[in-house]
Amino acid sequence: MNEKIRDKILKSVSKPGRYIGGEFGETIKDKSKIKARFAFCFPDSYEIGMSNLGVRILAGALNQYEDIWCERTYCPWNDMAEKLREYNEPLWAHESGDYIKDFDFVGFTLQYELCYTNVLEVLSLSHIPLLAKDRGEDAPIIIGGGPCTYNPEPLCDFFDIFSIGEGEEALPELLRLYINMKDSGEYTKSAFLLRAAQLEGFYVPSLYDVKYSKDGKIESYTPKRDDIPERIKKRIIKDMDKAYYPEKLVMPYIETVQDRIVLEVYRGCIRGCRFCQAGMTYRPVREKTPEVLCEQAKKLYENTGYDEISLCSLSISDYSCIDRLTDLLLEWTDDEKVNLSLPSLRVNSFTHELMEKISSVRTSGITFAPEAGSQRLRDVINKNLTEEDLLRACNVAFDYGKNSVKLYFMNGLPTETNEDLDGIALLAEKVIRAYYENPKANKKRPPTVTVSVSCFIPKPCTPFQWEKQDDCEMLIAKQKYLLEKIKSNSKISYKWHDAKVSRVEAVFARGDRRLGTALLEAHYAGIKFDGWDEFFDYDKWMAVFEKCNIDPSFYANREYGTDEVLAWDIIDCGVKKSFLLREREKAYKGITSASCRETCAGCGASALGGEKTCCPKM
Amino acid sequence: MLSENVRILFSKTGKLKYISHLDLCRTFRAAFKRARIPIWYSQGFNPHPKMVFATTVSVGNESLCELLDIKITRPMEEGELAERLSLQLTSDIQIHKVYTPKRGFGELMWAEYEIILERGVTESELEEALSSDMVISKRTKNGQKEENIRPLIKSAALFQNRLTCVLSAVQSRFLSPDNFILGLCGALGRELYAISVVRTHIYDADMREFE
Repeated sequence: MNEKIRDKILKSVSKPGRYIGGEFGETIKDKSKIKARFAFCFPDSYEIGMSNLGVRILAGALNQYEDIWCERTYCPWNDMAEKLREYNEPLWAHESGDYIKDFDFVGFTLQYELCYTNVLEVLSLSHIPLLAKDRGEDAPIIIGGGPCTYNPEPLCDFFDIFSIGEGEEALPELLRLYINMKDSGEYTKSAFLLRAAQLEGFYVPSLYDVKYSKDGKIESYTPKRDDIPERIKKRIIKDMDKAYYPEKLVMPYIETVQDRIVLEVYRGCIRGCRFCQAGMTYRPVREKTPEVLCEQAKKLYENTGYDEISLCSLSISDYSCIDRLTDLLLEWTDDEKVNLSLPSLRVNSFTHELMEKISSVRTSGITFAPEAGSQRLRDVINKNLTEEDLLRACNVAFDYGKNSVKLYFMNGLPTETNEDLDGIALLAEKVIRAYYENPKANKKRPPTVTVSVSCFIPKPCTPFQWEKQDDCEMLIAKQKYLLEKIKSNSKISYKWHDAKVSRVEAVFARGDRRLGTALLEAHYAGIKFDGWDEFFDYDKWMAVFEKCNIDPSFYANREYGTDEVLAWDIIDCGVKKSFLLREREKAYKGITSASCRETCAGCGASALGGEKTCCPKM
Repeated sequence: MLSENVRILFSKTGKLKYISHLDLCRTFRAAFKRARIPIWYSQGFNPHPKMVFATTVSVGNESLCELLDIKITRPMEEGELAERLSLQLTSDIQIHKVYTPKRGFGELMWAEYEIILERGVTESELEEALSSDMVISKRTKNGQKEENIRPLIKSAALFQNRLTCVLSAVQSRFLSPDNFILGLCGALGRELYAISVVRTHIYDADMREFE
């Protein structure tokens, strides 16, 4: 490493604190005792990556071992990327400052499809060959994990291994295999990849053949050998109380997105919203006990000094011990002036008692997600939320002095009509009316309702995985229709997502291996940071697809046949296809399904096991 | 024993040179909290700890002599405070001394810097540059403004490739070493690049070390 050049680079970029490491709480190890070095990359800006709970957990889980050193790296911002290229300086890891290209492993957490181009940017800036087939014995093993690996197919050209499911136990196992093979002299890259493919929860794409039929659909997936599984079953942590959870955090110098303690309360979700990938792939529900959580929160508070604890899960108010947990936490957080925040509240369980407990002084607003405007469509998506529930919850918030409500909706859901869009506007108006009718609300402060509408994206492993996405024109027409309905009311502010961004996201969400060429082409066209409005360039993307002879509609705007081989069939997420099909049929009939706590719908995830679940005992 | 007013003398070197003053404040705030130092918080809706820094160091530069004043609500031993705080900071921030301040920051007049230039200057070049006005163009709220910084330079001398200078550190007439280098560039008519800039001393009006 050339200190002088690095210093010159850092002095010429914005926010150099993004690249230096050296933060309080980082893990420094004696290199002479290390047998496997792992660079953990969150392929977006430092500010976003540092806030990610998964990285905090997994880096800590790896660093428990004396002979493993896990360091961090992120996607350099554009000015930094330019300078690194100008000086021909490869990207380095934050803790040691050593080049990423010299590590044993580089792991990418794949949280959203729009970060795929950043993965290539990071490899390129690290001077690591982009394509797995071009990487020799000396190059690091490139591994991916996280939500997007429930369909990793578009990334197969670039990755050696995907870790499917939860990684706290799986990743250390993989590194142990690597160390053992190196120690015994058995190690070659291909021998290691084969052994990895035989471990539970690891997918080595190069060991599987894909055939396509003449109509462009997938014909078959075949393992190249008979000693590797036909489908890769996801890994889960059985007992969340015993799972590794960090006791300290790396404290960023510069401000990040989530500068607070995040306490993961439980995994999974008892609801079964039919569009929601996380609600399906994190099954079965597994809770932590309040006492364990309280201890973890206390330790994190002592070691970080943060004054906010955010209780994290897919739907926090569905936690079966939420009262006990908040009581336990309030025993000490009040005295220490530590605030509790509860994102992801469901209106059904939003009560006066809960409102009493959560820190609310600083914010004037509250957020709910009805997702659809009419009861009919909410039943289709299995949201299990009524207008009465929502208005009651808003009134609770108004009773406590809140005057702004944010409502999340989705456009383009299956079976959506104009009446459902009318319902969005009506619902927003009813919330405003409820404010004026609430005797405790301060009428001198006018209420505001923010209606925020995203576009439906059919996601793998959901009952809606076969659905087509509305084309851009249709989505934009719906957005305009809603704008006409809402714009006359000054108390409602309306925000909507760019339909074009959602279309590209849909292409990669349901894509297959053939999209690898498009990603490579996109990288050469300078496409990156697609998740950022200021960088996303739809026309550039369309040019890339055209050049690669790829029709984005084939992936995004086509209804997939239920008998079709899906690119992600290779992954076993625990939830059975037959269950997804049943749910899809119920959706079309407008029939809801009860929560896991009320009745078991037989999704199949209980076969994975797990402690403190709400699954019936097998 | 410390009570109420506390002054902390610390250095900010290494990776900390890439950290802005605002981020340094956040770092100290969290460190005080972790160290459980009974620091005085402002009252009101959104309480924040009272911290006053004597000067700031711009991004890219290091310092061996930063002063931070805090107030504590319970008496504490000097050694204990220093030790507890040090444990909560990385080695790029070193606590040198913790004491009860005797003088206000208003008496701080000058700061000395050691600058290493990539391609140095000669003694005669430096002498000539200092012999007349040194005008730089500064960005202010009302657009670009010309300013003669020569009166803000007490002295400057060369020791091989090290340039030592004493610049005004009075709050209202503060001359940053970056602006001094900018002035030098103007006077010499060529670009200069500082490999490193370190604040080494701070002085009062009589050029006695300020504490």
